[in-house]
Amino acid sequence: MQQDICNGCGYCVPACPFGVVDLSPVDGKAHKCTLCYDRLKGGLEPACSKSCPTDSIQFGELGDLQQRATRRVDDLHALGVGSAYLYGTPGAPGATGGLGHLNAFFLLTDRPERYNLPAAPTRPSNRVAPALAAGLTAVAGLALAAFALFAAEAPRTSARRRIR
Amino acid sequence: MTYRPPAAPDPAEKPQIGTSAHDTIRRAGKWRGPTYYGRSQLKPAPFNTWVVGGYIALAGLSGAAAIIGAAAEATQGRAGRPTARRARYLSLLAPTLGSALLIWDLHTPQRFYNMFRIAKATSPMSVGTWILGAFMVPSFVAAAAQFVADRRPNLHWPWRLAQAAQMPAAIAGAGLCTYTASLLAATSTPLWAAAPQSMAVRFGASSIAAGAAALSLGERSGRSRRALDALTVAALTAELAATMQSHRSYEARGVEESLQGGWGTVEKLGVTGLGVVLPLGLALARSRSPLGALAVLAGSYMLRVAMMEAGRISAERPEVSFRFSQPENLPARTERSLVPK
Repeated sequence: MQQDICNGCGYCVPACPFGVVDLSPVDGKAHKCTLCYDRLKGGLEPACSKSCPTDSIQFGELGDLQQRATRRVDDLHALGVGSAYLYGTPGAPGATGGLGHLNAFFLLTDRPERYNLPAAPTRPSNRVAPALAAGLTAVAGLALAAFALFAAEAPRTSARRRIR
Repeated sequence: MTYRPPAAPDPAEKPQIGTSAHDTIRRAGKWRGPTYYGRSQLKPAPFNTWVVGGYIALAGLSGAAAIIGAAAEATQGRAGRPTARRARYLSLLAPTLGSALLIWDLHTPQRFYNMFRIAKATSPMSVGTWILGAFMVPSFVAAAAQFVADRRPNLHWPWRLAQAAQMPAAIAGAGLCTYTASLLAATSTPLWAAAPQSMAVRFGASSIAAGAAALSLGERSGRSRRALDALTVAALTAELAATMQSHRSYEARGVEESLQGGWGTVEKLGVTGLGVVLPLGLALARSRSPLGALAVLAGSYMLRVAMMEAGRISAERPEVSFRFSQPENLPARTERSLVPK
């Protein structure tokens, strides 16, 4: 979010498949977690992962984290926790509908809905083109109908003049 | 070792495949799975329903008027000028009042001009800003030229200028009639995302119907009025078909529940009953009363308001959101097997 640019149109709020972004009634701008941008600039990890006493929140390069999480799931399966799985890694639940992968992903042990996560989210912008195409086709058809109907009702004199 | 998704109770009733020809629609069952303490999974759009609904209706009305004005003038020449004249003035609603409503609805309105910083094809909010901008220029030129022509009827250039600006206005107007449906569809709000195509046809057809109905109210030529009334009937028929298709999609994707409250009643009785079926009936009965046209205009506004309010409900209720975000609703079949059953 660029707080000096955002004009608070609010379109990002319903666009988010995870219900994360919201508008602030205080400053009229959209906000979400910035991963502690100021700390990142100073070479520090986000405050949440830094302070987490059980390392439940981890921060790092996405590829490293995905590898670590996959190993952890394997360990858990070996320990008998067969319900463990990843949400948001490539090819897993949460990375559906054109999303590819999520930059914040989770190791879960129950249905995604238990954690207030959608089982199969989709990329909203995939629906831009189908909607526009269908709507414009309908409007173009009705515009042609308008031309035809007005032509059919054209007064004879002007019609004859156009032909000549 | 690959992960094994957890076993969980069947989240929804098995989709029923109809046996009779009448019941071939796949009906999604209700959500039977868990929710997160009943809390919403999504956040509803922070738009003011009445303000943004008003803009969407005005955008459709103006865009349609530009198209109809172009059609009247292009096919009837001089005889189509009075219709085109009214259409040009009607087209000013979106760039003036409509733009004001949009800026009003921003939460930091003094920064409205930041909308013109970039053009982004993946955001219909950006696409729409540029469509409205592209509509604004020719519609203002056409209306201004018309204004001069009204005062100096003997001059030729104002008419020619108005006519030259009418075509670009009509082309941008087609976008103005439809992009708003694309804007709502390209969100995660279940009701809007469930039927992108039929909602866009519905919005587009409703816009043309509203434009034709509004112009027929002021039409003095019997011939042009017949053309406008026939166009209204064609558009309402298309809207009715798209409405039925929308409801089929809502049922198949499990979001119909969000249309079962008061706003669902408005959508059925107000939008379709009053705004589509009643005017179609009046047209069939060859009524000459302005009631039909007024009902079309009211229905066109109510369509947008009801869709926005029912959409809000669909985003607020986790059982609708979770029912919609099941893998069976994914566009690609290959992905549907990913998610734990």
